[in-house]
Amino acid sequence: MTAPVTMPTETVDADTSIDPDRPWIVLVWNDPINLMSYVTHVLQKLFGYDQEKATKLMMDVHEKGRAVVSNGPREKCELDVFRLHEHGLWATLSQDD
Amino acid sequence: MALSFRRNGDGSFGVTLPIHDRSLLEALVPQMRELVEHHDPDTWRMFPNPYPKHEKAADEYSELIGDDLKNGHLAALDTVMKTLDAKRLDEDQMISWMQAVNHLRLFMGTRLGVTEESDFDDFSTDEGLALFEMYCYLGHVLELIVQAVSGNDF
Repeated sequence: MTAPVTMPTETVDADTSIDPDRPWIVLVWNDPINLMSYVTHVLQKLFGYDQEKATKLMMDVHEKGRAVVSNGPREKCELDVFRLHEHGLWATLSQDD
Repeated sequence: MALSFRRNGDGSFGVTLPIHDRSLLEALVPQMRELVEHHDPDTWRMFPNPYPKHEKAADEYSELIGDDLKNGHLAALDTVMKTLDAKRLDEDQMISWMQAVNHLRLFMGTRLGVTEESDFDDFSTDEGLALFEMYCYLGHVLELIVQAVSGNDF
């Protein structure tokens, strides 16, 4: 990503309907600040991934702009997002489509 | 003695913090605390919106977590201030250092509008240059902490 970090202003389709039966995914987004080594380590620490898997996810974030780092029921995904935010990663959750 | 963090056999961490590094953190961390406490706009990266597509869900989440995230960020900064003179940190304290140094970088990088290609040439004012220099220095500190904590080779 080459653009400076700016506050995302889009509130796309405010209140898109939430389907209680569809699974949730946790996404981590690329940003120009977090170090690659740091992101890899946080993914290992929070999700128990080995270095190889965490590195692959980090490279996906870096090269594709985002990666799915976990999934499951909404409450679990909210907790994962919270833990990622505690570590300063740019995480969101949404329903898998 | 150069700045260093190393894992001890008992899972704790040995810290060597030269006086210059100590002074810098002692000055920066309380300022960061104030910025978080008063919701400075450039701290937004520490509080991302988890539901960019669901305004109602975002509001509910925000209500659910209350001040937990802010208090977590403040607690990490407080741990650094309390342990600036420690030669030995337990794992939780070391993680707090890692988080706090990253918070400082997130704030500075946001204020500077850095990109992955940012270089010293991009900043023309003394203030911008000084901030970018600290941002780079904190990147070095964070790399050392991540190496010690993760045991990964990068």
